[in-house]
Amino acid sequence: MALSKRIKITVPQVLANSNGKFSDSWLVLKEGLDKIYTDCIEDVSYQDLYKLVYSLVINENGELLYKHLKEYLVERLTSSMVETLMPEIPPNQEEGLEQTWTFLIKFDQFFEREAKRFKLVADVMIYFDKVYCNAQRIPEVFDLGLNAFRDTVVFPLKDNLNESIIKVINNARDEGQIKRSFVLEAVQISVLKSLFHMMETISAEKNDDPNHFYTGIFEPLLIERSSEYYRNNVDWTDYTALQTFEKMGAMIKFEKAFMEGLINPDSSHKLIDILTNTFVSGKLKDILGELINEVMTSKDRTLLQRLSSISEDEEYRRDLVEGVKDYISRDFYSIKLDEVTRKKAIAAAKWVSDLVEKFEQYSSFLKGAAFAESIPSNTANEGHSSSIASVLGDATSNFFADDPMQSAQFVSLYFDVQLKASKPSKAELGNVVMLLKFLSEKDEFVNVYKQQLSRRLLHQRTTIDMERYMINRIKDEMGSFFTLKLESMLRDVTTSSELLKSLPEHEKQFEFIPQVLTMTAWPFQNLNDFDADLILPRELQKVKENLEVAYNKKYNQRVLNWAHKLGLIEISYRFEKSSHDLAMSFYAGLIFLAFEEQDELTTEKLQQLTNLPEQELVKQLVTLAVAPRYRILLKEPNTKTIRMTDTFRVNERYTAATKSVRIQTVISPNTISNAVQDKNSQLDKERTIVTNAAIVRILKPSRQMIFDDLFDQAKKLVEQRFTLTKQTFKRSIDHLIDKEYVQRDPNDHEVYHYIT
Amino acid sequence: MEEDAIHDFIELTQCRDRKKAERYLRESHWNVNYALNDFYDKEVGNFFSTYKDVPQDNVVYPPELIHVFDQYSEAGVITFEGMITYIGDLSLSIDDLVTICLAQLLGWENLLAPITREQFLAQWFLQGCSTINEMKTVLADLNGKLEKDRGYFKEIYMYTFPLLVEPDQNKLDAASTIEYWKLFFDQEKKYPMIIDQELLDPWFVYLGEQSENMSVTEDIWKMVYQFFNRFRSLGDVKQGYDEMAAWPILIDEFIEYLQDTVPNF
Repeated sequence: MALSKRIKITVPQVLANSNGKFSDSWLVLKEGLDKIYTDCIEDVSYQDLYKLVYSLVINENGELLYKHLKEYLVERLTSSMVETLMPEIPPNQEEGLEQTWTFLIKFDQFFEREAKRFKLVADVMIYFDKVYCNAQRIPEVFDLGLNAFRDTVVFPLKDNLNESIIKVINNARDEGQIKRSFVLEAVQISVLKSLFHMMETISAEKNDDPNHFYTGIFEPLLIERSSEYYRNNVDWTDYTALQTFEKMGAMIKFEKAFMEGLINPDSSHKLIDILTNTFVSGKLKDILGELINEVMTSKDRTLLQRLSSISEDEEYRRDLVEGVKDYISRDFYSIKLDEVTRKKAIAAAKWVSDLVEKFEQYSSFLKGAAFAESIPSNTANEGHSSSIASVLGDATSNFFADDPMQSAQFVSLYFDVQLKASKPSKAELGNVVMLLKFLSEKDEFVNVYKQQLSRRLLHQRTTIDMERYMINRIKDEMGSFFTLKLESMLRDVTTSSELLKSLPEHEKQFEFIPQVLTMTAWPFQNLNDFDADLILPRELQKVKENLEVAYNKKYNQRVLNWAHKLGLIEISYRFEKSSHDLAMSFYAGLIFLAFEEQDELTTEKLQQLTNLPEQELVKQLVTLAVAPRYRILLKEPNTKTIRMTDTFRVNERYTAATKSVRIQTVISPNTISNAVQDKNSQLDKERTIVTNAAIVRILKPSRQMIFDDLFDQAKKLVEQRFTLTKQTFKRSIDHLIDKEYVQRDPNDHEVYHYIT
Repeated sequence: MEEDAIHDFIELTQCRDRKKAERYLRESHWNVNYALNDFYDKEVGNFFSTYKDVPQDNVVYPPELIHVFDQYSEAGVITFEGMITYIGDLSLSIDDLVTICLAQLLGWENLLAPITREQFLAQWFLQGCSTINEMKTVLADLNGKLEKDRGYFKEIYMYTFPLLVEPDQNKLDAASTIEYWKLFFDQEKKYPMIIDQELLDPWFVYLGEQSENMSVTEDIWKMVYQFFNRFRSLGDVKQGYDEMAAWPILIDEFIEYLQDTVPNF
């Protein structure tokens, strides 16, 4: 509707009626305008009218002219509206769709016609626009016309117009849901677009309102009524969760295409947002749980992608992420632990490998769906970042936290079983190492691992290369703090084999593998004092002395103690039926070797020969002669208890299914529970030490702190190792108060001071 | 004129500090009577609350008082044995809480620390006592105070731990701690902190079940006071105890013990 305003303004040669009355001139002008309004444009003499307007302006009749013109336009519009538009107004919105369309089409046509007339009038009045309107800063003639149109036509018919448009839009939505295609004809679309265009041309309220009618009046209504429609007019009954979600997708898609073809991009964007939010905070919320189940069970990547990209609403995304975590944790719980089998270690290892398998599955699934990557760190205010790793990590942590000690033990057992196997897979081990960071009680893991590593190394059930690989992987994952002692253990084993090479060559009747261990690195709590006084067979005594000499030559500052408790003797013996390699404890070995020279020995005699204390001797004899599994020795009398006068000899009729036999020293149940208790109190002790150090580190610079703050900070400081409980913390505080590092405030017992 | 006033003042008050005498006199415009009133109001019975503040020189102790000291002292001090006899002669026992009041009065900081002549004489001199009978009266007053005055009761409770603990040690053994807790909280119920028997009985049973090697730090000694001060009955504990707060483990575990043993706790 833009007008070419570059018409050259010329001063008329002859000024008609230069001194005539305004009313006379107006009558002439009005006659011309009437011709425009009666569509007799060809009869209009632009030249004359132009001159007339010119002289009116020159004679300072501008104000009067403006007033008359305005009245004239309103009058014309009113009569024209009454004539052509009023009959088409649908009496109510229940009226048929066809009538609504007729109204809209008529309205559009009406506007087109009137606007054209405004333009023609404006052409005549061009001098008036330039000289009077612009100078007075009032709307030019064309705008005067539009404002008159707004006030005379649009405002009175506002509700009819708006409701009619919304009615046809909603109808198209209804149809779209059924037919799943666009139902508006091109003509209809162009009518609507043309009406929206009109709305964008006229201002919303007053002449200088910066909003136009569309954004100021129509759009808010459209948004309100549309969200009402989405909320109420969609029937979800009989839809499964998945179908519901599909339908939502289809609706959004439909709405997007529909609106983008109809209204301006800004406006359609708003509508799509409203639609999505209506779903997300309404129906989708109800079915989210079901959908997550669906998507996780079917491992449908695209569906997951669609679920995560449908909305950027923070709450929705958090619900989604938490739902996924929850599903994964629950699925982990479904892993069965074989509690019946006697092979606990195998069961635990199976449990861990099942877990890691699931973990890997989820990891690749979530990665494939790029899940959570697209999700901005919306939960950052709660200290979470929603990367895939953390979704899966949180799920795993939650799962482990259910029984944190058992989880730590099982993971270590998995490694133990794997490393003892003939060909452990580095890739599989590596995958399980990835789980370590989710353990809350890492110190327990390291303790158990250390125990098991020590057994593997001492009993040569593993290879140094594999162990080194593992320790390096653990170090990468958890930091060197945890692996210092493990590394030191490995180093001991390596230096021991070097030491062996430096031993003098002697008549070797047997293989001798010394293991020189650094006391502090290995998990032995108490060694047997009597080891130093044992009487060894001559050959053993000789290698022992040789080693001592070699060792002292190399490290003369160090003290070497023998820990036979940890030793192992392997003896090949030909029984009547078969020959076997018998691996047994060092003490059992000493007893068995005593029979090399004598066929029959009493308990008392055995004690003299070996110098074993009675308790240990009895334990070993029970293992060799009483326990039904081995029976390497025969006892006379054949009773269950050992007396000093009992006699023993080798059971020549012994036989076993395999060539090599591992004789395990019988352990009384008592010792087992003691060992467990020892281990636990050992862990408690270590934790108290770590906590003490943490408290001192926190309190020293700040001098004083309130109980809760101190606890929180200490907890944070040790969380890489274990979860600090209030109990451990208080034990530590009690200890520090006792040792006078810390003092309670005399006036406020919740406040602690650091004492220098 | 001023010199005379100072001389009189020093003579009468035994105040050795000439500058202090001058100050009191100047503030009273050199009126000796006013200055004396002021001095006695401010210094005696207030400033001189421990024997160390009592003027050492020129004090003439009553011979009866010196006689009492000589009776129990040995080589110029009263040792623990002497104190036991003395306490007996005051018709007290070492297990009476009034004995702790006496210890506090004399500034006896630890049972195994000897009491010096100056400490003994000056303190009783301040109390205006010279004979065993007069001392008994003062102690009877303190006993009354212990039964009525909560602040004093707390003071004596807090004084007990350092008094009992052996030198070079910072802990008390369980048995004697328990005895004293019984004295303070359990027996006779005449002291200002009255604790419901339903709470107190399990406390002593619980302590009895603790290992004999249990020892008590001063922190625990103080926190037990805080605990009973705040929780007088099972109901109080049930309602208000928070094991997440800064109570020591011993008390936390007592609450666990209550939960395990007291029905409906």
